[in-house]
Amino acid sequence: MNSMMRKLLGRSIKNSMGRFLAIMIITMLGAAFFGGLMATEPAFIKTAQYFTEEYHLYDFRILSTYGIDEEDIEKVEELPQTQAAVGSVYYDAIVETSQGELIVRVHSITEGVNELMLEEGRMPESADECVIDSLYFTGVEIGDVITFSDANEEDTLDALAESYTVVGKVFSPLYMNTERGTTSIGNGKLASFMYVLPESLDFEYYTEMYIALEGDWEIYSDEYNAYVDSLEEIFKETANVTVYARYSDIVSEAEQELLDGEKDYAEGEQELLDGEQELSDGERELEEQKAEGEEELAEAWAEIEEGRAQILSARQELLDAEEALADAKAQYEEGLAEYEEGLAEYEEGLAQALAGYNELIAGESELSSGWAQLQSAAAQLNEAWAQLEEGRAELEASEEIYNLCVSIRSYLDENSELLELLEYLESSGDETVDLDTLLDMISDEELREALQEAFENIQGQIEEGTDGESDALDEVTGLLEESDALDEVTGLLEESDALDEVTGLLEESDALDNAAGQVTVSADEVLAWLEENLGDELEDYLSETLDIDPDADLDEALPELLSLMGLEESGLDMDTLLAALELIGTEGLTETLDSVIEQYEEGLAAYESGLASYYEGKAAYEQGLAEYYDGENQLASGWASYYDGMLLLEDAKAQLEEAWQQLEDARIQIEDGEQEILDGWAQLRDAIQELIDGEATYEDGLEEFYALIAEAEQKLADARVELDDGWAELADARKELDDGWAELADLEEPEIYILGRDTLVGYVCFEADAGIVEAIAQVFPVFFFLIAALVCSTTMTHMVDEERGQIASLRAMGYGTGAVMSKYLIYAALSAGSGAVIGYFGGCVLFPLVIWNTYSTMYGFGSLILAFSPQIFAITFAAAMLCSVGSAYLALRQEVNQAPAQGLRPKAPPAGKRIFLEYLPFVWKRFSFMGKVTMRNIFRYKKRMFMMILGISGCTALVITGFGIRDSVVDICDYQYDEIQQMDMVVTFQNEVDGGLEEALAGELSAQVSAYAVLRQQSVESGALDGTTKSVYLIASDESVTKLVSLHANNRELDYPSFGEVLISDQLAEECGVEEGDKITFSYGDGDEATLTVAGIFDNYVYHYAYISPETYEEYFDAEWIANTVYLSVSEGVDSHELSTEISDYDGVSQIEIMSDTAERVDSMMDCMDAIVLLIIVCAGALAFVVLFNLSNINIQERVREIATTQVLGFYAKEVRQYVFRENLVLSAMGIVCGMPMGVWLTSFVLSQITIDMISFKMKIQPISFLYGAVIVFGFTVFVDYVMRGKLRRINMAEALKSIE
Amino acid sequence: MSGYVTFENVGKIYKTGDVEVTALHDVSFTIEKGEICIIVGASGAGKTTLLNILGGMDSLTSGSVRLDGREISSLNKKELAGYRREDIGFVFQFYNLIPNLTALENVEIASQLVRNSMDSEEVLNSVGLGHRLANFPAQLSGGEQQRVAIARALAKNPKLLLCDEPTGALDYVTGKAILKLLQDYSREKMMTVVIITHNGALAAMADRVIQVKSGTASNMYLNENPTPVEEIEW
Repeated sequence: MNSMMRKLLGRSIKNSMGRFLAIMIITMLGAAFFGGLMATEPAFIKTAQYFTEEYHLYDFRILSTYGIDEEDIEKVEELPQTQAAVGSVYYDAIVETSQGELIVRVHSITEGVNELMLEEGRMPESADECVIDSLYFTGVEIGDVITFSDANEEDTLDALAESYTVVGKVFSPLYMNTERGTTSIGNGKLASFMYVLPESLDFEYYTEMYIALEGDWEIYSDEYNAYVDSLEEIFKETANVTVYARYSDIVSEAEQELLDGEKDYAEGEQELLDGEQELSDGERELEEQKAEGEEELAEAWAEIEEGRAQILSARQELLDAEEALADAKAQYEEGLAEYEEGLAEYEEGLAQALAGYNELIAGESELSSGWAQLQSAAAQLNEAWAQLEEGRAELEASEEIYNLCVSIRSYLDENSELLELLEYLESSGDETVDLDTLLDMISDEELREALQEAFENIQGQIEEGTDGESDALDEVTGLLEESDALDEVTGLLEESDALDEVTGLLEESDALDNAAGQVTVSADEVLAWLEENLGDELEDYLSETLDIDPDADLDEALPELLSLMGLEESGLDMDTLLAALELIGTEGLTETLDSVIEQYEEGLAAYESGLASYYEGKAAYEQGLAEYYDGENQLASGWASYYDGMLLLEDAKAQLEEAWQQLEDARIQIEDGEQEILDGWAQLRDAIQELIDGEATYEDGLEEFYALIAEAEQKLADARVELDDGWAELADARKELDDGWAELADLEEPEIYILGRDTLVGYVCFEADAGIVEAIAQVFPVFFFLIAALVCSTTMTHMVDEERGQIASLRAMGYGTGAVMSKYLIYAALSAGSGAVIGYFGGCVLFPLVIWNTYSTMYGFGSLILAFSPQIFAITFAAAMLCSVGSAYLALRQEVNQAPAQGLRPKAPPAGKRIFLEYLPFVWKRFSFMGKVTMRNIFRYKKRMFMMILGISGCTALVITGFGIRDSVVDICDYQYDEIQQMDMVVTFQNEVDGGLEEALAGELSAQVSAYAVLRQQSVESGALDGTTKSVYLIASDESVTKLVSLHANNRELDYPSFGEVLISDQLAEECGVEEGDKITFSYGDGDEATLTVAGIFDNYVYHYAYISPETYEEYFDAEWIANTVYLSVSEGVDSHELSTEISDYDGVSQIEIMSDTAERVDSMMDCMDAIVLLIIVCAGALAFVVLFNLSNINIQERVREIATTQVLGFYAKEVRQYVFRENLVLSAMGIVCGMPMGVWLTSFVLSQITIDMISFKMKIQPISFLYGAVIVFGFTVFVDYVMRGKLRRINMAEALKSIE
Repeated sequence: MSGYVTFENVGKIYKTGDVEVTALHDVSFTIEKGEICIIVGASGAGKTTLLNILGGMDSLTSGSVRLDGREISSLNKKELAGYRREDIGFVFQFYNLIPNLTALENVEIASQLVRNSMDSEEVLNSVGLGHRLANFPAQLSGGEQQRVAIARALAKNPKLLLCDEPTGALDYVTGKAILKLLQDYSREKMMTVVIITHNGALAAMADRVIQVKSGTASNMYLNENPTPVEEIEW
């Protein structure tokens, strides 16, 4: 190559810098991608290797069921393979920090094994210092003092120091990733860890022993694994010997302890039985006392009731008595009044009787005086008879006078002289005619005397008789009339009931009335008789006897009488008479004569009437006599009735007295009654007071009684509670003892576990995560490189085509083929080579760092150690050379093989041709004219078309793969923990589901738990096709587990396996190479095997699972089906962690796995994928851009004349762009369409290459991911077109059309 | 001075870096409607530049150009594209057919651009290619390709047909036939045709002849009796 050629090369590079750079960049991208991804996993492993060696990550971890002691460690240390063996102890404790509580594992610092990487501060130097987890010990800084919550278990607190001062922050080989592990305290999840010096912990045995082996081994290598496996038995045996000895000691000790416990238990039981006896005695006693007391109370109450009734009736009685007393009093008052009236009447009657008596006495005297009068009257009668006889005699004597007088009269009538006498008489009339004178005038002496005497007599008689008789009678009558009072007495007495007897007695005394009446009658009779008889007799007597009118003036009558009598007697002559008449006057004489005649006639009449009167008088006398006798009789009967009346009065008196007596009695009785009533009231009041007192006493008594009873009952209840507690305690003790015995019986011989690094979560996860990168590195870079090669090749070919004239000219000039070719080969080698070198080293640094950066959030151990592999670099470089130089060589060879002349002629553009579409008129017709042009153009440049489609489809496939991996991986958690394992919590028991959780789930926890299943979960193994054994979770459960786990395949629920059948997860089926209907063998325990028929294969993503029924388990696994696990779903709104702490309180619960935590862990693992996926997408996008840009560039360059022609024809810029880029768009679309299935295939391929143990990646590309892929690639197409617009604009029509090269 | 096409003191200077090349200066002429105008000149005389300016493919530095009264020199890029599209038909020395389109399609791609286009098939028939409609350019002879090119130009029904050495790549007979076609067309359709050629013999067939020399129109004359193409010999 001469200088000219070098100049040519330089100018060629300079002129086509875009092309040179395109080749360089595409190679660089390919190299970076390939080299970088290939270097990532080695870099990771190298880093981990360094870390494990530097900090002496253990190779073996030995645990025993009886702990580890110094002796065990010494024995292990003596083994030649041991580099270091260290005992370690840890406690899980709740630490109080400023931001709350953390559940932390407190480790003892181990020297020589598992050394800590100090990130900050210093290591602890004294017992009260500690170092903490640099990642998750939130809220605590160096210098802070750590204390432990009181909620920690006693043992834990005892073992730990009271507080620790934080002196540093560390990274521990035991926690290589973010996983901090599980614990049996709190929510079951460890948050962080801390380390303290062993001497600050108080423990008897080590929890575990860590052993580091001699020799350098590459981690994760098969050699290492084999070496470790070969040593396992030796170490296990060594530890076993010493541990077993310790076991024997423990057994005998425990036995002794249990026997002691039994003795205590028996004593306790006896005590309790005694207590029971006492209690029941007490209860009985209380019952008796209670019954007694109640009876007494009832009695008392009855008494009170009775007393109350009595009081009421007594009160009623008193009221009645009061009423009766009032009545009696009224009666008494009435009686008294009656009595007093009777008494008054009686006294009145007595007075009357006395008056009557006086009257009777007076009547008697009157009667006797009447008798005397009668005697005198008889005498008078006799006298009157005599007088009458005299009067008759006189009359007979006076008859001559009379005849004279009549003759005188008749004389006088015929003679006046007489009259003159009479006148005389008359004239002397003024002067008192003295009787004596008159008498003197009477010449007859006898007569004068008699007259005088008679006159005097009569006068005397009249005076006597009238006075005496009438006065006495009047008095008697008056007395008798006054005796009405007696009637009143009687009346009063009659009215008095009380004095009925008195009244009766008084009523019976009619005799008194009779007597009174008789008295009255007799008095009346006496009076009447007296009046009738005596008065008339007397008057008659007077008038007859005296013949004068007593009433007449004696002075006037006397002269006549004297004259009459004198004349009569003296026989006076007519002269005398006349003289007399002249004396007395004529008138007097006539009158005298008349009076004499009258007197005579009267006297005669009087005589006759006197006679009659006499007879009458005589009759009256006789009658009076009879009356007298009657009166006498009457008086006698009056006396009798008086006496009778007196008797009656006496009786009445007696009766009155009796009545009085009775009244007195009554009064006394009343008074007594009143007193009694008063006393009664007083008594009643007393009684009421007594009753009230009684009631109060009763209430007090009642209260007291119940208080006593309550007290007694409380005492008994307390005693009961105490006893129950005692029994419960005893039962607990029994249970403890039983457990103890059972434990002792079950006490297994010491179990030694020897664990390798493969049980260290971080260690295992790291390998898996690094593996993800490796798997991707196996596929992507190759694919990427292929596309890069394609682009390189196209570009170089185009370059050669472009410069064919130059090549031909050079050759024509005589330059050798080699010289000419060398220019292009060097051009290709320079661009691709530089790209490969830059790309490889850049990729080797950039890719691991970027990925490590995302991983470092999970794996915090130190900075990445880069790994450069010469082989990979060689491969990268060779591949880059091959693609660029190789394709250039191929293009050149074709060019140089032809004659130079041919090369000088312009290479005819590919001729227009009909494309196959034109033979399909129904399709072809549908295209617009420009569409037809486009289609034909597309197919005209076939190479370009294929390149374009391949490149774009490749990019599309990469982008879709990126998204597809993300989709498949990201949703594993969702699929596994939402769709398949729908439970929220897995509760594992130490031995058996007990402690009441199952009952609680059906009962008190049912509100918080929406579904649960009780099942047996056990780890078994199954042989895979590749000879390894796979650990499988065997779930022996009834069908209830399907409520929480969806066993489905292809969206179809599988039937739950019947007897002898098993459902297995798909990855297990795949790894073991079994299909539905095949047999699968599980090994368990010490090499036992169970072979079951696969009834179905269900979708599963994480771990291997096999589901069988309990019956199948008992039959095929030859063991009793004992449930040891509970799956449960919480109800909506219930916090799983809160529920888990609640559930962890139940006995026997050993571990609670909260699925959301598990899902989170798996999720965080998947986050690493995101970074890789992003890297893929970005690179794929870059690739797409480069491909599109390059091909578009070539396209335009090749067709510049054609484009110029369209411009000349008058195409607007937009129409020109459409004319050119429409092809790109169509090609992109085709590439995208082709790329999609490629992407799907690539995704599934990559996923199949990612082997994270226990996780099955199933391709699941979301439709949106296809859309993303299409949009991203299409977006790049549009972007490239946009960039190319300038190039189109710069085409000069005139220039382009002028030359033809 | 007014005509169908008017060039007034047109000047064109190419600037490449610091180098200025004067392609045209002070060119003034007119062409009447329906005329066949032949612009003759030696290579590099500027006749192609002149044609490019007239065809709207290049801009001018000074002066003004009018077609049918329309000022072309002041049009912007897009207006120029519209001008080319509506008013101009181009025929190139190397045909510049689109290889991927058949003869008919090559005409159609132009006829579709304008509203009052002629029927593509008819135009092809009229240029004597009715039997080669479906042939791709690669399947046609040079003369046939140039006929397709002419048909493509005519199909747009342009105001002005510009031909840049239309016979340059053709043999004598074919070239003559092409020129005959152009002349006949001009006569029949009153089409204004501008032909650029270095062959002075062709001037006889023109109505108007413009001689270009050293970047300017040195001479212009009218042919009272243009010679039919058949009679021209060169």
